Parts: sequence; C-alpha cells; structure tokens
Amino acid sequence: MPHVDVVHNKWLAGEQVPVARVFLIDRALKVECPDPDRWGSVVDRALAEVADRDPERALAMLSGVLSGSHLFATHDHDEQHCPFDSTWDAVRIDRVDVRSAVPAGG
Amino acid sequence: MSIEPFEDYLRTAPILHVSTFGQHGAHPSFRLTLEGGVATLAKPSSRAPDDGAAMVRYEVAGWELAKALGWTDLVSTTVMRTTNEVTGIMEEMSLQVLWPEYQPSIDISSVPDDDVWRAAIFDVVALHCDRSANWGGVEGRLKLVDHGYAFRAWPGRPFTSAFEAQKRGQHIDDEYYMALTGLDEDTLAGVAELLENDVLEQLAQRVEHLTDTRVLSLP
Repeated sequence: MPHVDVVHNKWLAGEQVPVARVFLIDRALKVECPDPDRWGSVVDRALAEVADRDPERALAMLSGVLSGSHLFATHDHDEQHCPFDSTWDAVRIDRVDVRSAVPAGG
Repeated sequence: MSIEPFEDYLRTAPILHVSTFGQHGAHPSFRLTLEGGVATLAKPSSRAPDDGAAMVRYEVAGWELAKALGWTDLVSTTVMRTTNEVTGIMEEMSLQVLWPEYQPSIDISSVPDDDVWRAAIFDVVALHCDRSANWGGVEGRLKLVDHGYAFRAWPGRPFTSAFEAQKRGQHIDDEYYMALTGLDEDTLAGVAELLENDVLEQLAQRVEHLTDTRVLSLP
C-alpha cells in the first residue's frame, strides 16, 4: 500500500533512520511510529498542514511539508519500492565517487 | 575572539571525504569531512530545488544574520565554498558545520523561552518560509537549520515560522530590542554581500518595523 517514510538524517553518525510511516489505507491516512513520544508530534504537525486535502493528495504533499536537511518525508511509494524495505533499520551513508558524481554504492 | 579564521578554514581546508544519502529532503546535500576532522553539510547550488544560486547564498546569509544579531549559538558556522570535489562540476555550495547529537524538530516547549524569542525574531527578520520543522536541539538548546527558503518571497511558500507563531503580537523586550537596533550597515555587511538589493531593503524594513513597534509581527 502507498506510504511515505519520515526520515531522520543522522549526518555525523552516517545513518539515515526511518522514524515514522504514513500509509494510505481505505482512503484514510494511518501513522506507524515506533517512538510516538519522540516523533508523534512532528508527524501530527505535518499532517495538520495537509489536513484540508483528500488523503491521497495529502500523502503526496508530505514530502513538501517535511523537506529539511535533517528531517524529511520521502515521496509516496509502495512497499515494493520502499528505500527502507518497509523496515525500521537505518541505512548507511554512501561514499561519493566524485568522478561520476553519484554515490559509490550505485 | 574572531570566528573569521574558522570561516576561512571552512572555505579552504582540503576535503578528505564526501558522502551522501540515497534519499534526501528538498535540497540534496553532502557530508564533507575536512582536513582536521570537521564534518560539514554541503548544499550545492546545482542540486537545489529552486533558484540554487540564491538558496545557497541565503543559507550563508542565515549564519551572517545570526552573527549580526550576536546569536551565533543559534546557527552553526556557514560559508560559501566553490569546488568541483562534490558534484564533479565547479560550483558554489553552502557549507555548514554539523552540530553534534543534533535532534531535529524537538518540542519547542523543551527549550528556553529565550531561544524561542530569538528564533522568532530571527525568522521575522529573515522572512523564513520553511520553518515548520527545520529546527533542532543540541543539549537542550535550540538550533536553526535550512535557510534556503528565506529572505525573499518564494512562490507557493508563505512566511512560516513555528516560533513567530508562538510570539506573534507580543512586546519585544529590551535585550531583543537592543539586538535589533544593533543591526546597521556595518553589522549587516556580511548579510548584504549575499542578498539582492531589493531583498536587503525589505529586510531593513522588517527590522525597522520591529524596532518602531516593539511588537513581533511582519510589516
């Protein structure tokens, strides 16, 4: 099902950690958040900014609401294309091969 | 103690490592580790979602404004650097020191009210258009990041500051008033180098409005 990952960029640690997911289920937005005490209010504030939109549009707009260098929401995608494999595992930073100006991992 | 030598270091120190994440926010960024071990966040102008040349200047202008106000604890040192060692093309990018243990978008009520006030004033002066989540905390104190969407009007991005919303309409106390009255041609010289003339003029008008009314509000 389509969802958006809310992601914490831990630049110094070199890790990118999903901290919440917003799903579109039965035409409504549902939030999964392993640590709601820490991140619940952040997600709630973001959802409040798109509350006047239909759920599908609201989900698509989250990446524009949360788009910072340290905390952002991904574009909406399905589980098959989830950059975090729909897990809560951190993803490591990639070394950049400047010659090709892309991450060295691919 | 002047911070200029450190700024010069950031502009010129050899770049040891360049890294990035696969997923990114609005402005794809890179972690640059400089000789000596300082880790920084680079935002190349070519990768910006909008007017890249302006956005990277405004990132630096955020730091220059913090300096002008005497509030260098709010924003980490940010400089402009030109290099081809990040994207493979010679281009300008903002380079900002990374805070240790930075916690993004912390609860505003968890930081001192003084930090909230200063962030509110900063955001009004800077006309921040993207402050709904772009702040964080380090050891219980507020830090401000991401100043690309600031200083001028951005289509589709109205002025947005969670801090201004908290202090809107309130009287500006003496210590903040003094910081604002300290903004003049000399203290804003660093900001002026980075802003277009009309943008700088509007910033000056906002400052004048705040000092004339002593009420936190936009003109």
